[in-house]
Amino acid sequence: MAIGYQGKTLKQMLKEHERYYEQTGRLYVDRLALTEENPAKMAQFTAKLREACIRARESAKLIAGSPIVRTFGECVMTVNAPEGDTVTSSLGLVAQVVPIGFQIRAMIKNNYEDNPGIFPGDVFTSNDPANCIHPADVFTWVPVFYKGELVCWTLGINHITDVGAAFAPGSMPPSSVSSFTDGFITPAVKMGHNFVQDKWWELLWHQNTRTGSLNVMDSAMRVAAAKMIHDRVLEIIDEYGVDYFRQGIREILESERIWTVEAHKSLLVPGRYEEWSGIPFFEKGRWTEVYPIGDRDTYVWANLEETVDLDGVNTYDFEGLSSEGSHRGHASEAGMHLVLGNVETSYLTHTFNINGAHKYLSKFRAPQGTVFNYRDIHRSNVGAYASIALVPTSRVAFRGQFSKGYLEECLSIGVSVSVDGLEGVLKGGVPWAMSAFGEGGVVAHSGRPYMDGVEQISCMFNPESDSGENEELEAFMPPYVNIGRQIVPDSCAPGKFRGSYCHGIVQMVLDPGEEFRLCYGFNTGNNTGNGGAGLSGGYAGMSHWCIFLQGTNIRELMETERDYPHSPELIRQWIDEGRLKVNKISMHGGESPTYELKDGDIFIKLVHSEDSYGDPIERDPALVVLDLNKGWATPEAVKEQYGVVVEKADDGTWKADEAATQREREQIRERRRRRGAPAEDWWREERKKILDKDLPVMTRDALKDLLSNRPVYRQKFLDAWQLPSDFSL
Amino acid sequence: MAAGSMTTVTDEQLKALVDGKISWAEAKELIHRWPKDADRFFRILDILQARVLWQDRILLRISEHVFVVQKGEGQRIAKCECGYEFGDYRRNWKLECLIYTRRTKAEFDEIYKAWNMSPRPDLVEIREFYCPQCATQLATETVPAGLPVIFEVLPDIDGLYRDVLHRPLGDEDEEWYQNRTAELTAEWAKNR
Repeated sequence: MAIGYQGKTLKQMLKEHERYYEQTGRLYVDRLALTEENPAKMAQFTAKLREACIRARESAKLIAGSPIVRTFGECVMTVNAPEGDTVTSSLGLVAQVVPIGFQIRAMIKNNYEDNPGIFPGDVFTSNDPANCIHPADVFTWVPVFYKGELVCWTLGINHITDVGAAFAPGSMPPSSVSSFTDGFITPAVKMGHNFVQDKWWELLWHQNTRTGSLNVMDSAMRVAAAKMIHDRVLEIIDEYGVDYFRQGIREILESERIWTVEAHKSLLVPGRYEEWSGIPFFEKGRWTEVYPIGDRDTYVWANLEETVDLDGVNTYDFEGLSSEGSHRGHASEAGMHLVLGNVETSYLTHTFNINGAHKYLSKFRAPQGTVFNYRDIHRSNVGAYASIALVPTSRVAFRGQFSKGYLEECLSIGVSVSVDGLEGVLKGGVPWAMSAFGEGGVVAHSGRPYMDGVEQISCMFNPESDSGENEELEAFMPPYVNIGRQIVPDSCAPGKFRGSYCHGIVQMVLDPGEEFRLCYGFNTGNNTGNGGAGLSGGYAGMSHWCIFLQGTNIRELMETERDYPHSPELIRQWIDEGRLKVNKISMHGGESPTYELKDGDIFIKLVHSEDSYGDPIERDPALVVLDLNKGWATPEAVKEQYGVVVEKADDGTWKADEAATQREREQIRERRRRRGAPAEDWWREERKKILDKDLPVMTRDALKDLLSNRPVYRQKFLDAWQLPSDFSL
Repeated sequence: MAAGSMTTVTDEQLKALVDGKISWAEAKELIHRWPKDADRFFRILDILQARVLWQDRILLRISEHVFVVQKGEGQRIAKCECGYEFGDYRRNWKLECLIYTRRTKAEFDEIYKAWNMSPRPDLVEIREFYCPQCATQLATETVPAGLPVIFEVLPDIDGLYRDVLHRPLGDEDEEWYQNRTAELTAEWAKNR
């Protein structure tokens, strides 16, 4: 039964919309008639819709039990056009505004209107990564009917605590080989009637995930939020009339599209930009018997060619992209648009009304059979590895705005979200699990053309988040306590304006009971740093690292000395002094395997830093001294990194020796002149290595894949190194 | 849509911005402006042009110290602030630099100082690109061995000047928006 405008089906409406955009380049309307007639009325209308979403989020999130939602605020509520596009949203997880459209359009294209039918009071939910970035993000939506016509959708979305993955706990576990081990995944399912979730739906969460109660409460939260906005939308329709509402939401989208075009044209220099990003997945030895095809190390590469054109369209071409495989590093088109949307909302389309219109100005291309356009629908999406595209795309935005002269806008951010997955069994057989999202809200920023990078400042995909409160999370992870936090000295990429420092967090296992397991998940810079081209002579930032200290005497120290080391530096110092004894120390550059931990074991997270800007030997010595006197840098490091020579002043603080610094920096320049090879010589040497196949194993395998399967990239590679046309690795 | 500040962006603010001396408060004011000051591009170029010791007209700055300049009749080249000329900007200027490659953990640890947190040398190498004249580090790459040098930007300069800045250049030609890097490596291949 058709539920759309004037008796049309949603499918017809969607086709009309797509055809109209294709033919005209406009969204839904040819002119902004209502806006032109009365701009203030349209602004009020927009604000009321937005306010409905914000209010729903602020109150509904308190229904959830999970701190990820309640205090971190990793949720978002929206109003969407019948055809799927997000018209307006609350604050929060705004990265989702484009994927929502994919979820709704999937439902439309699969004829849900006929089977099972869409009726007032119905509630739908999906976390299918075919239409979002990963199973941890769960979308719930309700149709809004007005006199029998579906006029919009309202949604609640949030990041859950545990996805029920087979081999590791948490929301983004770093161990998976296919969707069958990714956890509980559902396409759009009608799981509620009369705005109440069905009982069987709650049982599914209990059965399929480790945190059933929290996930059920999250679901109730999403339904409540969608219902709140639903009711408010009907009030707004009563106030403005359904004709105004129908036209108004489409004018919002078209005006935002126009705004985005203006923003792109205003902020960016048109041209073709290149970048690289990559991530290794170390799985060899983990799956030998249970899943041999996944038992290999894979190096996924993403070569980006981004075209910023004169029409305001940004085309992201991933022609040189690794093939899909039995590892966890995949993303659907929806997932990619989440990442590209991050660049839009954070860098380019600054609008008070966050919406999904920018999707139409971000054209994404990846060859079929690659990690971002996979053929096998059962590929693993458990992480959010589309995010390896975030550093390169944000660097392009940086460069485009830099060249245009808007230096104040230049910023590069990765999205290394530090997320632990934990589970255990307390004394007495009580199971528990959690996803520790505490550092997710404290993503660091790069150096900029006018200032240093900033530590722990914000969250790229959720700019209005609060940093997750680790102490609140402790209540949900009883054996896991925070015992310290500190900036890690010298832990930045050096530059004229240095990158941000890492911050180190120390956590301890306390009376775990019968079992305790922890894994460190989701890091897009595993062992590679934030690879790619640096910023005007600065260096790539640093990825997360984690350290497991097993078999320590920290509990005895707490008893006998009434003291304990509460920062990574103190831990190191106490070990050197022999006070802290440790049986085994394991360090991982990024994600970790799952560890069984015991009472007194210690876990250190060194949370990432970002790119620096400019030549380090151009750094103002006064800025170096500032860091030294804060205890964030050491004299030995700054001399080597920046050529700054320091000495102690009479008052005990550090000061720069200007003359010695100038001499040291001139020596560094001389060293560069001596050790830098003329480019042609360098090129020949590198070319010979390639011809001799003298490349590290994982690099060779990654390149072999690209040269065998990506013909366009192959030709570029052959041209770059002037290799014979039949070259192979 | 965001309402922007209507106060004027002063020359002092822009000079401070270019010098890296602007205060955060003033930078935030600039960030919050919408619409952006439409004359920013040429005002920044004027500041930069006044500072360089050479006369060629700057068309675009593509990196902290690297410019695309008009060099006489029908030539547009990439040039370092010190005066070193990299040649046709359509060829990746990084392939006219001195290049140093860090490949070992010890070499990485000269940059990344804390807690063993440098990348794995079997996954990436760190390339540093120096101006052959002033030895300023103009660019770096942290990339796998064998990756072609990244051509950070081939700008559409004609499109920018004509359609965005509304001051078309006198020597417009669609050839200016062609990547010519392969010609350079082909010349090198012939020189074997």
